[in-house]
Amino acid sequence: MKIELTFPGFLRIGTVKNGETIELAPGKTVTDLLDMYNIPPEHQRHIIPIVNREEKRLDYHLKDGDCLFLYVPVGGG
Amino acid sequence: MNGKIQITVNGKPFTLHAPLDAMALWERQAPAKMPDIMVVNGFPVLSGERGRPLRDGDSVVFIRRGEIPSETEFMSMLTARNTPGLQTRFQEAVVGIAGLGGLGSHVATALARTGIGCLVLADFDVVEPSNLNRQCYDVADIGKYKTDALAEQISRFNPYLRIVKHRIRLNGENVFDIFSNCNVVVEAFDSVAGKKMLVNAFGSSAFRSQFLVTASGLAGIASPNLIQTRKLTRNVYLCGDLVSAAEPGRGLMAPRVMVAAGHQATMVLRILAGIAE
Repeated sequence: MKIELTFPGFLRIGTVKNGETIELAPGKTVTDLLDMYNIPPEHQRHIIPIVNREEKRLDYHLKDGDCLFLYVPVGGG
Repeated sequence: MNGKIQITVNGKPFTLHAPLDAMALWERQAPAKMPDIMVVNGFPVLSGERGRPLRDGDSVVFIRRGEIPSETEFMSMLTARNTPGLQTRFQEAVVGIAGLGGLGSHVATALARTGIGCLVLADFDVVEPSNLNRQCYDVADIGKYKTDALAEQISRFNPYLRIVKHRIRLNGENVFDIFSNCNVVVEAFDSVAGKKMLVNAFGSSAFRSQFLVTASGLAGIASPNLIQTRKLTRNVYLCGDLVSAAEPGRGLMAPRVMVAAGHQATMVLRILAGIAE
């Protein structure tokens, strides 16, 4: 399945470019995707997955055509 | 027009049936209570100066030093420069501010000056000297609870604003009670955990009909043009450049913090005006 992936500029998701569409095996969760790109669990817990402008959990099962934004708030206020 | 002239006096519509200058108008209205200052269309009229006759559309403001106008008079003058037609929505609104640091103190100030009806201010902290580089407090506030200091500041320029203070450390449980009556809540925390907590809360059904304006990425001196407002979810908007975390070597400084706060306050107004995309 195809997933459009966006993320803040400081994140490194393998060689994926921001806004790129990636291929993923059906049935995978957001966690599976992050594991695939070696994002350690201690970093994953800061991520808020936004799928098609809806907040989801890391165990959300991605669907073909989903637009996934990996939102990671940074400190300061 | 039958020679009638429509003007505003201290923010209220007023009809003149014949040409008259501002001083004559005041003398006619309240002969025993002369104003200290008169302002016609934004320009002060000096004492003893009769001035030109008032014209249709003119704005006259009479001021007596030390006298606070009535609420109606005050609000119409305070908001005279705002966009007409929106003021009722703003005055009926309740806006929550979660955290009263650099972002929250400036957002609250901007919204109070705009004429928002009620602010719910929540913070557990006190004002410290190190806050003064970017937060909307002064030296006399050091040691005060931020809820008290900010409420005092606001009351000095908008004494009629309703303020609900919560001196409390917000968490994933109490936010639902604290902000239950708010149309919009502004996330103005410093910590990542706090920001995440509030975004999560607004993803729940309890806040389904309310909006959150959150912020991320505002430290340092990178171009302020990188700070943007984005729609994150159906009811959550995000202001910031997404990357500029506060960290050693990249401090939180007034200009960018205030730009981000300006984005947040503007987004609140856009939501209340019903023009949020």
